[in-house]
Amino acid sequence: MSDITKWTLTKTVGALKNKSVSAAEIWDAYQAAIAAKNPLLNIYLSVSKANRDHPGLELAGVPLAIKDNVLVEGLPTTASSNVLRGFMPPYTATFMKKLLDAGAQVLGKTNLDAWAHGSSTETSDFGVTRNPLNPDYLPGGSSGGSAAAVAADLCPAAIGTETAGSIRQPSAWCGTVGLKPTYGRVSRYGVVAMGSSMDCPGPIAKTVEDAQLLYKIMAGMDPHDSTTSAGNPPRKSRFKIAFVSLDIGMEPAIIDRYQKTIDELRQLPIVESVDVLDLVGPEKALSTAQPLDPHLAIGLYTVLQRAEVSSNLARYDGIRYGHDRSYFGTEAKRRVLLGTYTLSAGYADRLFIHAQKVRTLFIRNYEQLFAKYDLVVSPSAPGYAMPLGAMGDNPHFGELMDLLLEPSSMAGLPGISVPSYIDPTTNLALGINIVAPHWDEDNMIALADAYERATPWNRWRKEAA
Amino acid sequence: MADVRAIALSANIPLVEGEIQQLQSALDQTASLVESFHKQTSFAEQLPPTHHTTALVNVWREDAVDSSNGLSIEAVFANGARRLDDFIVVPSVNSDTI
Repeated sequence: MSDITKWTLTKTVGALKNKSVSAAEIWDAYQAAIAAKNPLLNIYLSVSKANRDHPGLELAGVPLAIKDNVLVEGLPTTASSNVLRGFMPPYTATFMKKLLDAGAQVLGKTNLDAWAHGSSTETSDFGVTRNPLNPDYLPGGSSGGSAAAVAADLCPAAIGTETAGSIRQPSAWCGTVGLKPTYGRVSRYGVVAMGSSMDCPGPIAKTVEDAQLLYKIMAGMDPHDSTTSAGNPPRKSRFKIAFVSLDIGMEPAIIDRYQKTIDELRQLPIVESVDVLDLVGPEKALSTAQPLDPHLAIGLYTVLQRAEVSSNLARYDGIRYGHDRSYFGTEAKRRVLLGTYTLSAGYADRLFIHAQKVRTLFIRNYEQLFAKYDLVVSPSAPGYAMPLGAMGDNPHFGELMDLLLEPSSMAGLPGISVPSYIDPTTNLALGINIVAPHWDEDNMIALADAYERATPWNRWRKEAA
Repeated sequence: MADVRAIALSANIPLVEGEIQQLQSALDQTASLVESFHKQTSFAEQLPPTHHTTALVNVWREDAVDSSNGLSIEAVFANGARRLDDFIVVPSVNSDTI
């Protein structure tokens, strides 16, 4: 039998169904792999001991890695912050209940930037996670532990959450597939709240079909989250693609690489056309089918996210659970302070309400694009994974790393990152980010799957057979 | 520029002396970025603010207690809240400490 831990989720599910492997064998293989690799990589904050099998269910016996900001009753949840060290959730997140009801089991909880504030895992109070592709580099974040767990073959698939890139950016840096659904497609009930108007759980997996399998189970309306909603646009057979200009300050070698990616997309039978579009400023964003300069999303996200963070973190006072507010780390303090500032009397209208108007500008700009194109594609990140320690004291590190993902997140749109290159010298990966209109995950997934199957950049594709 | 100590008081964030300068610097840097963003995007003032990205409005439910969606008393206290009978003990609002 080949190494079980290198199997895709789909292959694992198939092997369990045809009984060529038992749930106990799968569980033991991952426990052994975690014991061997976790001391160096620091991916799992806690590992489960329970191993249940529910024959006949869709995910019977399948172990999953879960980002440690998702509540699962009886398993510790810290959000990688000392404030919640020792906290035991009294209930389970709705989408997790769906996965557990389908037979999945929790292999363990994975590291993240504390409170999901960051894009590197360097703000975690439990130490940084290393990138399995090259341990001298960061995995990205905030779902860096989940992406690294998949990349290191320490789970068949994982769960992340995204506010402005936290599923797709670590997926790009770790060479995995990350799917961020439409805002409201998956319930946020039971997820530690960060930016509530953007937060969205989603899968991180080895292949697109693996991500799709989990996404379909996770999705659905939830009476416990009144922002859940649904839509079902028609499937298309061929796609007109808008590719966002590469003129955003990337290194020439990376631009050259993405030029080849554009050629790869053009050769796909399901792609009708690929137009590479120049960026426009605010004044032209409503009158032309060209993308608004994503650099404006840095300021926009800074205002909106900090404001929502300052509100959401106000509940942590150590009275009902957790530790008091002196336990917050520096990054959380920075964000709460800025959010308090932008929401204070005299500034709320000028800064926060104005930012919501700019958000409308981004949403309407996407409407212009989707009136002419089916999907919008860009690099997932401005470059390869950064070396350990890269964040330093830069208070906008996350915004810069998520530059190309923030516009779609703030517009509530679905997106998926798939591997588009692996550097043979460093072993580091690049990814492309495919964005669809609201509720149009199926067409987005169709292009991602076609690209993955037609190119050599997914490390697990041949294992999927 | 905003005084980080005044904002921290408002946000109930305890600061230690050694971090005040660093947080003041980060606040100044970010506040400057936000002001620059405001100027660059003045065009958007004519637009309505976003209330919900997928335009969802008016989500209603019955005005009734859902007994299936609650915690037992024991579950409420399981994470270490100070307890007096079935009540949670909270700090005095007149106290200087949290």
